[in-house]
Amino acid sequence: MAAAAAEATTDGGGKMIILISADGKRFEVTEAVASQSQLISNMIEDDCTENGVRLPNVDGDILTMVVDYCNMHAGDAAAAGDTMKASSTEEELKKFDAELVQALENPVLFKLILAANFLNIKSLLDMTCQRVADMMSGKTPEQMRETFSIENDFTPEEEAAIRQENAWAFDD
Amino acid sequence: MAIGAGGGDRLSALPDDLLLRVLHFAPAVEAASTSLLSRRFGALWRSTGAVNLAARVPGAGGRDAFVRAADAASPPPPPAAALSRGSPYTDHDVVDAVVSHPAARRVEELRVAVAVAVHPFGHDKINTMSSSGSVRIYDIKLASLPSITLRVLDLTNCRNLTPTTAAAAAAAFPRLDTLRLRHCTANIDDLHRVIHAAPVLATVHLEFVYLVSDGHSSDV
Repeated sequence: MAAAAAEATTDGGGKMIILISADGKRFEVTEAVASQSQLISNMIEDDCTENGVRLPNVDGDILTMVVDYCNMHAGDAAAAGDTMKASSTEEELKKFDAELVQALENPVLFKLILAANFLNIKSLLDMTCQRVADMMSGKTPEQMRETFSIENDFTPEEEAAIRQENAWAFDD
Repeated sequence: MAIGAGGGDRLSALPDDLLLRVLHFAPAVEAASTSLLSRRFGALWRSTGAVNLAARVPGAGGRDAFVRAADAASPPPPPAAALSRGSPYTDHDVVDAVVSHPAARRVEELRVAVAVAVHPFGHDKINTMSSSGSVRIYDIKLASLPSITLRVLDLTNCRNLTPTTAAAAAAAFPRLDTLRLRHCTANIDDLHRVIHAAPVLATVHLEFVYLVSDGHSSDV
């Protein structure tokens, strides 16, 4: 299967392509699944996916999550290929997304944001950015610094000036 | 890549466009308060061109109303204004003052969401009623809006979209392309006037909008 992968096709335009992570892991996905990445979609259009798509910015563990996400969200396209499971229901998708995003913690979350941005998968990028925003929600600046390990490099005077300038946001 | 190993500050290491995207999803108060986190965030917040205007309603606690208004030329997060948490009936002048403030004149995207503050003793009934669509709590004064630059107008829990004669004049909203009303009450004729005054209007979104006209009404 692997050797013939680049040529293999199934009904409904389910041609397979190979994605190769920074650490050399190979992922075989249909074009329909991979096209959710605008970057890869453009490469498919330009016919430059023959020898696999190298993604030097994305580690294997992160690419695993991205591929899972894309498989899950391939939706209508997946229904066309009989090797794929039937397209997920909306409810399953919501559950999958919620679990994925809830499980994300600091280092992996930000790697996934960078990967979604690099691969240009808007829904995944929005979802992961939203998760960071949710982690800010309801927190004071001090709590945010703690959550994200942000170093306060203001002088006390500078900090006081900013507090005054944006007083409405800092009232408790 | 500038990202350190382990539990380093990966948020600050994001490129500006991604950080701005995150802030765009964050509640406005938290987004603005990031200016206090570090130099990185302070500079980022200033680069949005945002102007913060605070307005306080006497008697109600905390951040009652504010406007984040931005220059027409600024990058995302989109120039936007948001108002929230006013107490019913008392804060009309505050909202008007903020929206008609000179700093807001070039706002492209305006969101006014009036929410009833939930008091510990029973006042939350008002909230329930407003979301079920029977109470409209804010009279929006279209004449106060930055109508020349406005591209997106998004109103929640507002009523009486009465344009003034000036605003009703042809093309009073020359750039308005999106009009969204949620839980609003509008006179159908007024709504028509607004739509006629917006030559490039492409999207009109009505959600739980109570349309009234002379003698009869209907829910949309």
